[in-house]
Amino acid sequence: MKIELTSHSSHIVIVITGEIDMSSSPELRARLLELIHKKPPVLFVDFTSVSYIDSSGIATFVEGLKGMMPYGGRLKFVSIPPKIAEIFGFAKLDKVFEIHGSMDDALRP
Amino acid sequence: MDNTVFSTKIEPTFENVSATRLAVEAACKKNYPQPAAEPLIGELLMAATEAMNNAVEHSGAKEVEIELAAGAQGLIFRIKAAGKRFDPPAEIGFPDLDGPDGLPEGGFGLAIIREMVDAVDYAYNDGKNTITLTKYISKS
Repeated sequence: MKIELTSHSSHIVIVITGEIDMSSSPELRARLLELIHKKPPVLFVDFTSVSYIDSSGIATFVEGLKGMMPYGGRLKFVSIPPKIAEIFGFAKLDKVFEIHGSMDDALRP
Repeated sequence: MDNTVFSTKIEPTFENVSATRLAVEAACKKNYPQPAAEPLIGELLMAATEAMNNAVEHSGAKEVEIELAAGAQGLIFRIKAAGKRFDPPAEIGFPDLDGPDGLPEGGFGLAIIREMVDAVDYAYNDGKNTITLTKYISKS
């Protein structure tokens, strides 16, 4: 897994490439919580190049969302591949996370 | 009759789970190369990975045995590890997202296993837990 931080319209975008699993999710958790500690109003996660996510990855993002909720921060997921969207749907996490098809969609208030 | 198409014994580490997932994926695709099988193989791999993660995290075993068999109905993934008997909850579902304790950060693994395959069997023999996952896949 590779994590890159980019910006889009002055917002932070976390671009993840590869597999989010038990061996890589601790790194993702550390980076995510470090960013959330600075209380960004919105964090975008670009899933375009994510090939796999397991329950540890899901738990990492739930923890991240819970860290943002107290101050009103928003965690937005962008371009989730169908097989990953399927898991989010089964777990009803598509009702919890803000999921968008593109950055343009995600940037709309 | 089911034919074993892949088997290995791994030291229980999460790095080994990642590597084994790739090896199991290759064996699945070799036996079911048709494009229509790909999403079904993907679902089996998700369940298999959660089962391997659980064995690494909870069994305390020194090694984990993994076997993949191809049968007339589809693929059968079996994982065996020594440890305390594991009895799955009677009802397995995804965690309640609207519960009084707020969003749950765990409890997704067993639900993913249950959801992604057609049959799950838990057994305990000779001090080892065996979990068998069956995914129906058509050869045509």
